[in-house]
Amino acid sequence: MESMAARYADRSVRSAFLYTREAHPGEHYRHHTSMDVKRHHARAFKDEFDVKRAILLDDLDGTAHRAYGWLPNMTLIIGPGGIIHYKATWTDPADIEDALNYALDALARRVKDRLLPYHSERLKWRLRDEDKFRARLEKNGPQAVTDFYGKR
Amino acid sequence: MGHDYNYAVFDMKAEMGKFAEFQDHPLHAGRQAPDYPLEELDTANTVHMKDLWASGLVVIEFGSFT
Repeated sequence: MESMAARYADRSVRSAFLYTREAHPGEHYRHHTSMDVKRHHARAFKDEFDVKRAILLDDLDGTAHRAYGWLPNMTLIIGPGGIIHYKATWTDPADIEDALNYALDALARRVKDRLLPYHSERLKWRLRDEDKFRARLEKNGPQAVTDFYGKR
Repeated sequence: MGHDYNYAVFDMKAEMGKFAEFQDHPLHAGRQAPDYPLEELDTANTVHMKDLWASGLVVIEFGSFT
């Protein structure tokens, strides 16, 4: 997502990371009890993943996150006028880039070619790297692992 | 007791339910996105979501460290 943000910046595409509640809290990164805790976790995220995109914090109640659908890692592409061009349950950079190119092309041609918008949906598939996911949970703390996988 | 927004314990059943609800969520492609104020981490400034899409497309990824 970072490299995509950099590549599309000169095409007037903005990219942002909206920071929500912790999806898998554990002993090392607990749930947010204040905005200071949220800021701390967001800075750790920025540092660990070298995030260059703007990180924007939702309020402690998750007002924006809840309004947009509650999911832990969804992505939307929103265009002029606030019109939603793409929304997905999970963040898949290849799928997002495909949708982004489509939207850019359509917006560039819509007046000249007299294009009209319509809604469509499709089912997508993703592969979860189980080892990487578990390693992430372990970094969050033992409780995060137990909460997801159960006690073993 | 309800499952709080900032839960201390991940509840698989509650959170998987959210995925099912998402398919019926009213914010579909083609609809207008709502505007909310957000705090920019680096500057502590308030950024309104509508300012993100004022001049073009914006890709907004939702997420957290964990």
